[in-house]
Amino acid sequence: MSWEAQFNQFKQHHPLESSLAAQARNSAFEDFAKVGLPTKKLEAWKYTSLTDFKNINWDVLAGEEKSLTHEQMQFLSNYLPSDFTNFVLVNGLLNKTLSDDLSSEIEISEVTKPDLVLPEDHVESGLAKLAQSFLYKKIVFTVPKNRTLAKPVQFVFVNSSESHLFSSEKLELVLEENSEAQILLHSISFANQTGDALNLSIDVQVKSSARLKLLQLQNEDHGSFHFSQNQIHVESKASVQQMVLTTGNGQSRNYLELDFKGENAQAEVYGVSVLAESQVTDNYTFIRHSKGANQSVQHYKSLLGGGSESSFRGRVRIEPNAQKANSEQLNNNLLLTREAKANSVPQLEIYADDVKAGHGSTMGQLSQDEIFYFLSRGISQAKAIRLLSFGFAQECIFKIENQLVRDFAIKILGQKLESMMKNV
Amino acid sequence: MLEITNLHAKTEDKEILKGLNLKVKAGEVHAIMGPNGSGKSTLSKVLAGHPSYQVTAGEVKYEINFNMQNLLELEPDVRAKEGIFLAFQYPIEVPGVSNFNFLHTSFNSILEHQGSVPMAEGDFREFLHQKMKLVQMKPEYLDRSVNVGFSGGEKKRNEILQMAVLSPRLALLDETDSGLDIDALRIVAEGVNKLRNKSNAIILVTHYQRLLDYIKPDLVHVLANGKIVQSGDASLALELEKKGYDWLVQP
Repeated sequence: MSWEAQFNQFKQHHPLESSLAAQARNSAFEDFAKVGLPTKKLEAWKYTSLTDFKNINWDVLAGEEKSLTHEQMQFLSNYLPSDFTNFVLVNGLLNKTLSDDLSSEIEISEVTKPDLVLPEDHVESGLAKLAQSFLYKKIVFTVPKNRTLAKPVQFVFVNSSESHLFSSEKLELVLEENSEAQILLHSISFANQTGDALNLSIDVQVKSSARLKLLQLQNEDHGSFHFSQNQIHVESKASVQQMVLTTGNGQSRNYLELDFKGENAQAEVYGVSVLAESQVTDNYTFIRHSKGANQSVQHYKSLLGGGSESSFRGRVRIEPNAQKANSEQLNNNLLLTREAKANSVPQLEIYADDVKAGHGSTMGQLSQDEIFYFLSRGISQAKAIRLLSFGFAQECIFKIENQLVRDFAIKILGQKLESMMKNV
Repeated sequence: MLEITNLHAKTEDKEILKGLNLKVKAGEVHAIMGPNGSGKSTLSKVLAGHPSYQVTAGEVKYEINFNMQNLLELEPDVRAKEGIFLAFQYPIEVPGVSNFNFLHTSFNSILEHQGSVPMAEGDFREFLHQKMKLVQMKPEYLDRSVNVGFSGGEKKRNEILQMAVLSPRLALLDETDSGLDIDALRIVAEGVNKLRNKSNAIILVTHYQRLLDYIKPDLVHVLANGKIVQSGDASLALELEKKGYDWLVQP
């Protein structure tokens, strides 16, 4: 079925009450029909081709309201620690059996017009318009003023369709003044699926003096596609730590836009990709210092085996009035095979004069001296490579302060590395 | 336990060892001294099996299970498992791998090779705390990444800690004294002295006689131009301190 036929069917199935929203959704699809999916001709998409995605016959409505098998329930329960507050979305719908009680913080509501419009010059417009065309609801999670959430909150996204399901989800996270939360967004696949595509639009508002830690775990099977568009607004004296750990998916593309709306705020943005076979990851970050006296740190690391490929484009823009901005960016790539490939593009746009902005990028293999150090201590070559690879990837994971979350991330990283190292 | 005969070795097509002979018995401490570029560090790296060095002639026999065996055909990790330890002149930094994990993996690899049961984490931590006292290292260093952010002296102490944990039969200390201040030198030397016993041997590679004030060698050798040109007892080191190397080295 064509995208147009899919859209017409979807509209019928999920009409919007607000006519303004319905109109906006129609225009989103019209715009998508005009521009189509991004191609490598676009500078922002230079390294990543969506040809494989285009060649699949996607189904937008498949899989809704399906009950889970016993095995599927069991599989999911492995990823739902009792010391987290868990919300499980199966085919986009909240699964009441597996989710913790709906608290007052979470609300599922219809999308409104602003959810369905995009700025003119948005880098991801093709993909984002497609995602908006297939939106009807959003999840809004609000942490009230001065509240610190005791437990990490995890949203799990999983699909159970028998055909290739394309799903679009929107999540709004609002941290009111001086609140604090650790949130995980975790996407996984059941065994023996046909391969799905998930598009996550994430809008985040971190109000004054609020503190957010956001961890995205992309852990779907290799037949799957994962796209995300994160928009993060950081107000004065707030702090954000955002990390994306990509272990799964045949292809993933993450667009992150972070804008400082106030002063004296901090943002740390981390990415860890551990890839094998023909997996492809493309991270595009855009850190915008609209106001002065803010600090941003970016560190992206890729560990690449098989014929995998990782791309990183780190755009930093310091506006003319954003004096005393401090921005660091680092991208390290460790290639375990000759076939693996890494692309790294720093893009600094600095219009203020009293700022600090640094960037660096490395690509390489494990050094002979490092491996020899392990050998000389009686550790075999295979074990040395495993430990060094683990160490390389773990460096960023160690930045997660919450020990439960850190251990959770390390476990997922460990599973991936074990399966990778069997083939090294 | 170690017999080196007519050893020739090169790196990057440059011949560095040119017919070196050396015999080391259990319980002995040998000091290898010599001018820059004479091949001192090469010798220890060749014995440990560094892949950048190739042996072009000669042989090295090492006692394994009461038999003298060809050391050169063993992989570097097997040499370590058989009791050879190299304390690096420039210890490597390994971000993301904790010192504890590194030591634990190393220790258990050796135990496994000997057919013993691996030591559990808790027991090993306790065992390590004892060994750390030997080199006056604080327990928090265990949870840091290997050598990352360590000062020069801390790195060298960490090497001696590894030696204490692995209790090698043949320890090669490659310029362990370089870059150390007097206090650090004393701590390192005391650590080594405590590990000295009748069944193991130590080869100290050093530039200066200073280290030998703290660790008394049984034999001192002068390495020049890829060969041992002079051997003697501890007094040879003192003589070298006074006269330099020139009188031994052919121009």
